[in-house]
Amino acid sequence: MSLSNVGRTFGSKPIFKGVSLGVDSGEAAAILGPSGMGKTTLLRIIGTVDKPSEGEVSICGKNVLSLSKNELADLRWSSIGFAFQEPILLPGLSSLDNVLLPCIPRVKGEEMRRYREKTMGILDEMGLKERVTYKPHQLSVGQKKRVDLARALINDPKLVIADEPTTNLDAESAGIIGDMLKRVIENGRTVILTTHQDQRLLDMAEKRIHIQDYQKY
Amino acid sequence: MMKPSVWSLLLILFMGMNVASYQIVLPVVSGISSKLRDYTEFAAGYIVLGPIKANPLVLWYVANPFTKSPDDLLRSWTRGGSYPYTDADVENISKIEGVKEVLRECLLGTDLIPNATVLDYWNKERQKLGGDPRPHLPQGWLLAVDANVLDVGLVPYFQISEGRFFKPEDANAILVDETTAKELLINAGQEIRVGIAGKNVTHTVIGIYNSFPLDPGGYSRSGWYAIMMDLNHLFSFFPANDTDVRYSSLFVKLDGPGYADSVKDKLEKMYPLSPLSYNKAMTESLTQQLSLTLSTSSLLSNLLLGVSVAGICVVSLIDLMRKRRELGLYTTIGWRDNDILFRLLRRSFTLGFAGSALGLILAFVMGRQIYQALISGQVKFVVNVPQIPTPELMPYALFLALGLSLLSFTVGYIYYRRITPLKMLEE
Repeated sequence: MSLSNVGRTFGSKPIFKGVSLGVDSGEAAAILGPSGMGKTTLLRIIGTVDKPSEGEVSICGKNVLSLSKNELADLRWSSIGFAFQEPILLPGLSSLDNVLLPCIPRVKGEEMRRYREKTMGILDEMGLKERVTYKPHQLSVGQKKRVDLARALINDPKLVIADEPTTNLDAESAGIIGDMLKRVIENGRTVILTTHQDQRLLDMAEKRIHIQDYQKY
Repeated sequence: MMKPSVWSLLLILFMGMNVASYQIVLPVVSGISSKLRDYTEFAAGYIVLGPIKANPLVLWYVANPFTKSPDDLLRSWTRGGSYPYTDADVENISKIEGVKEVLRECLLGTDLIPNATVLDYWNKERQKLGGDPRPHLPQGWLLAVDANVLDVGLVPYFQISEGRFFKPEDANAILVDETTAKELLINAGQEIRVGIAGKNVTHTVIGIYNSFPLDPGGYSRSGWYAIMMDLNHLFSFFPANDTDVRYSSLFVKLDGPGYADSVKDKLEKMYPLSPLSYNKAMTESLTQQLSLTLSTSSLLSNLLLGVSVAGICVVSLIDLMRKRRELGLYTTIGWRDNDILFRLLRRSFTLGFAGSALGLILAFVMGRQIYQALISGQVKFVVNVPQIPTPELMPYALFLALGLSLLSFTVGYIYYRRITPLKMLEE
């Protein structure tokens, strides 16, 4: 994943500019900075959900700005996993079905059965074996964050984006999520995350960006 | 199975309201407009020349054709009694200026349904005259009419409550009076034996009719035990010469309301003993009431349609705005536009069909009450309360559900196209 002189402006208000970053497989990068400075905006640009006002974004060797909407959707499905700061889980679905959500339009039959087994494995690894049938309202905040991260990992993406993955979590949930992200990096995948103060996550990140450094204009 | 949200339920309710109003109000509007059309035509001119007035029971004994041999039967009917009119009268009346058509009716007292029992009305009438109650009905009324009369001429007096009127291809077909049908448990489609000219002949009941308790000038058949058949069918049982054939009533159809008074004057002079049924004031009042009911129903229908369509649009939009983050999630996890739109479409159709089913249930549960609340006064007597949901309209409920689903989807589609993924993910 690489960013080259990326900037984002909302209306006439610039958020940041000139961000350049390259992260290879098996590496992690942390985007740091106070709240409201544009960390999440930068993550969304990396996750191809938003477009930069200037600069270039390249993921898996593809310039995302030149991709069509469908090609971008395919890239997100095959290569990007996004874990939200505030987990977005569909209220009517169980933990299992929420994790399987990305697969619904693309995976059928026997392959879906394999994804289902894989989901069970990931949820087990995250300490949610007993919670697979639980609906979101039956889960704690930490458990919801774990389900959200499990969904980001379901298709073994090359790039995992985690927005404040351990903020405001109990020690158990923060520990499980930290371990999971560590394993993801060890498996040769790229992790980009934002965090405020989680030293353990900061220690994983070889590269760090302080977003306020890109607001000097 | 996902639990439906309050907004989804509201959407189903609006869709149901639309389907229900369609199921309930449309038959009302269509029934009343058809009746209004008929009434306007009736008001434009129908005069009924009836049989000489006398107590029906007395008439039976005086002029019962079946007390005599079939050959003497029609000859015995007298101008001063129950059968005052001949084909010559039909021809003479047709020549009067302003008369469009003259249609015939023949009314016979006969042993209608052999072994018919439990006819309270008959026994009450007998008791009034000092007779003893009987265990079965010896006689009822047989109304033989020109098939065309049934089309419009009888509009003020009769209506079909079940089944249909006669068709030219019908053989041995009869209509049965509602009171008779209820007491003898007769339904449309059933075959029954009817006594005509001393024979019991099997006939098919093609419909049940009821008589209005209205009397536009003296012609009322309300409260009779009776069977109705085509006049030509009745005559096929009697080997009488054409010159011997007589009729009990004539329906005189006019060219327009302007001729009513002049034709009425002439008929009164030609037939001073005959009761003449023409109540312009009543038909005009009914026409006004029908017209008012039609306007009210149409207004209500349009109002319900407007409210439910606006409701569907607004609720669809609110529902989707509440699911904004869900749409953002689909985008983020790699769903294509088509996948998301298909999900919205599927949801709209699911809600649309659930709404349609709810609408049919609402129509079934409340339809009749709403229908009766919509029509009032004399209009109640002239407009049939149909079965609701109306079977003929059921297939259209499917199309309506499709339309409403597409409407709901279109609102969602427009919203989805106008919002960026970033906006969707905003908290």
